Amino acid sequence: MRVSNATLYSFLNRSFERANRDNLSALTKLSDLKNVRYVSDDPAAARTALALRNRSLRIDGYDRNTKQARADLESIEDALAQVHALLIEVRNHADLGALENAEVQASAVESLRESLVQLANTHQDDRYLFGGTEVLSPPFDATGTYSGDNVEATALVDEERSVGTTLDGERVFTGAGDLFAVLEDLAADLRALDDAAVVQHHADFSDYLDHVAGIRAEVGIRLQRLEEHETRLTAEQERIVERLANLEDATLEETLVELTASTTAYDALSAASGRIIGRSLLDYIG
Amino acid sequence: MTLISGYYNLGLRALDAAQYGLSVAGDNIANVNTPGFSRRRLELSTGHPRYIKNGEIGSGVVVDSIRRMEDQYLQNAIQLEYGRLGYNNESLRGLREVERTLGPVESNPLLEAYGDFSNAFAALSGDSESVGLRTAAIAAADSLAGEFRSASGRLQELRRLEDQRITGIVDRVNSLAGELQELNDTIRTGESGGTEQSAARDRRDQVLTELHELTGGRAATSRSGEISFHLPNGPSLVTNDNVLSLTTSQASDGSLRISSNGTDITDDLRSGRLGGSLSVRDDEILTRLADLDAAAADLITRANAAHTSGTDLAGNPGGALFEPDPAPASGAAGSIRIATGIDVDTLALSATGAPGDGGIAETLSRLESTAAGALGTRSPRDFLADSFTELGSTIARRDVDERVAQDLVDSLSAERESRVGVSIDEEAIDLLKHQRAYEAAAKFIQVLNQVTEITVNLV
Repeated sequence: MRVSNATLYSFLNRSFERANRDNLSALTKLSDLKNVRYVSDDPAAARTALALRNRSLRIDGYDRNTKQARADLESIEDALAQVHALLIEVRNHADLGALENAEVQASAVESLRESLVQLANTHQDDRYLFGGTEVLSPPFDATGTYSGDNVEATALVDEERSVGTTLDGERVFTGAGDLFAVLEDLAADLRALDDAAVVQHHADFSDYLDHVAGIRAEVGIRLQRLEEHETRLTAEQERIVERLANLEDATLEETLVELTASTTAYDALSAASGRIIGRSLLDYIG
Repeated sequence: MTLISGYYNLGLRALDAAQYGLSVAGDNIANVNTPGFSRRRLELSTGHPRYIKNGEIGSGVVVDSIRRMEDQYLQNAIQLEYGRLGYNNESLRGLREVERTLGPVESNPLLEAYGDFSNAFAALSGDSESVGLRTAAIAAADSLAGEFRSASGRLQELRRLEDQRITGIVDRVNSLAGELQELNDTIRTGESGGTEQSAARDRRDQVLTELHELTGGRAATSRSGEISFHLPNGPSLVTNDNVLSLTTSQASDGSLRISSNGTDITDDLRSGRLGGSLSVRDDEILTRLADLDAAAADLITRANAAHTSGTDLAGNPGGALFEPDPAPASGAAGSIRIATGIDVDTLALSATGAPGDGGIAETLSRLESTAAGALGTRSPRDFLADSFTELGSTIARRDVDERVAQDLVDSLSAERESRVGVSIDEEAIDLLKHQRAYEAAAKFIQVLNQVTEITVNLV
């Protein structure tokens, strides 16, 4: 085939274009170590990466929700522990019976009852935790009357997973008997030196304690599950980061090899071009 | 007996032929880098012989012509391929601009804003009365609407830029069409006298190549050698004596339309650079805009349906979360905004009326991942990701098409060049050849001189 000068120059032009494109590609890759910047770089990989990035973003949100839910439930757990301790203290007062210092005992029980009302109105960040979804106002008044509702507020901790972050106060404080009324009756029975009634109260406290312990266990399980969920989210996030790296990222070694290859090819092309272009029969015509 | 002057003429013709040869080689060398130049070749033949008793005596060389080398088949094939290359090249450029407008994989603004919107309402699902989280959710909703508007606006701007490119291409096509007709005239007039109009033919080939690249049209040669040019699907641009210039006008939607001889041919132009630019403007960008509009309309419809079924912190029923409500049939992405009156107090996130209930917030947070009939039973997340992937796949395919077309053009051009291109080495050999021929002819005349002198001295 006859080779014209235009063909030769055109070929060299294309070869330098390709070499420069390869150099630019290697340099760009070196600047951010990315194989996939735009979808067109690798549509299949990019489609997966888009889904993974979205999931990663959502996991960040669910992780924050999980931490917030844990904080709420830990506050509830603390409050329930105090309720449990308070009930034990009340039971001790009932255990001593009305034998001596009845008035002192009765006053102590009344004071504990006030504390119980305060615990029942536990709040975090202006949010009442024992009012169900009525979280803006104290669920119990001084008489122990409940103004919350019987539905728990829930936090979304994953695509299809919610967890209760408040409790139905009515179930907690009146589920096994109206604790506020019980304490009020106990104080009255202590004052009235009604031994039989006080002894009966003492016996009933086992049920109350079991009830509160049961709810604590329920909250504890929720907390445990949230912890496990948090661990799962962290592990999934790590897996996503790894998969994204596999899909999108270029390794430094691979990129440097690419850069070396492209610059070597460029140098070879330049040297060859110089030799070819610099020669012509005209040089030998004297 | 041959007259000595006859031999002088023979020598003179030989000198002339060598000079023509040098001149042609010089012209070829001078045009080695001239685009579209086809090398010329000196066509020589033997002069008419003179017959003598026992044979014939040659009368030297005759310069028949200086022929322009051409290969019409290859030239036509290259021009056709230029149409394909122009289309792929132009549409690839436009598609890449669209892709860059929509954002990189690592941080796609729209998908990120939708994710932030979902996260903000997911956070409210468990703490729906929180003023801080409500403020953040309103900001996220506003940001999502803003990203829809921004993406839509950028695509609309790209359409306007494509219109400017199209105007430029149409102007160039008209200018080339006028030049083609003038070149047809020049060639017809010039060659009626029998002289090939090589320079005009070179230029005409270039004009035709560019017209093919710009429009992807077809050329046809008449018996008289004139070339007419037709746009894809029929309309003529240049006929024997006429140039039917393309005209542009603005449609009611503000987009540019192209007409030929009063007929709107915009939708028929889908090849060459013009077709590439039009396909980006009318097919690709409009498809992306339609997808954005569908996703935005779905957001407006479903978010508003959820929000209006909820109650705010004061127990009042919720209104629309986004405007315009209802979503328009088209243009939702360009007009979506958070509804007037939405603030931390009026955000209606409770499904039961209780302030701590975040049922509506939960619904809003799940919109992104919930399949919607209006989106082909895909979730907005998948719908948008699929739309971006579809665009990316088109670009990847077009990239391959462009490389194939470029390789084909290169290969055909190299083939054509092998026939008509200038080789400096070859011309150098020609220079030597004609130089030697000139020297020999001169020597011949010198010998004639000596012979003549001897003859004169005999007298």
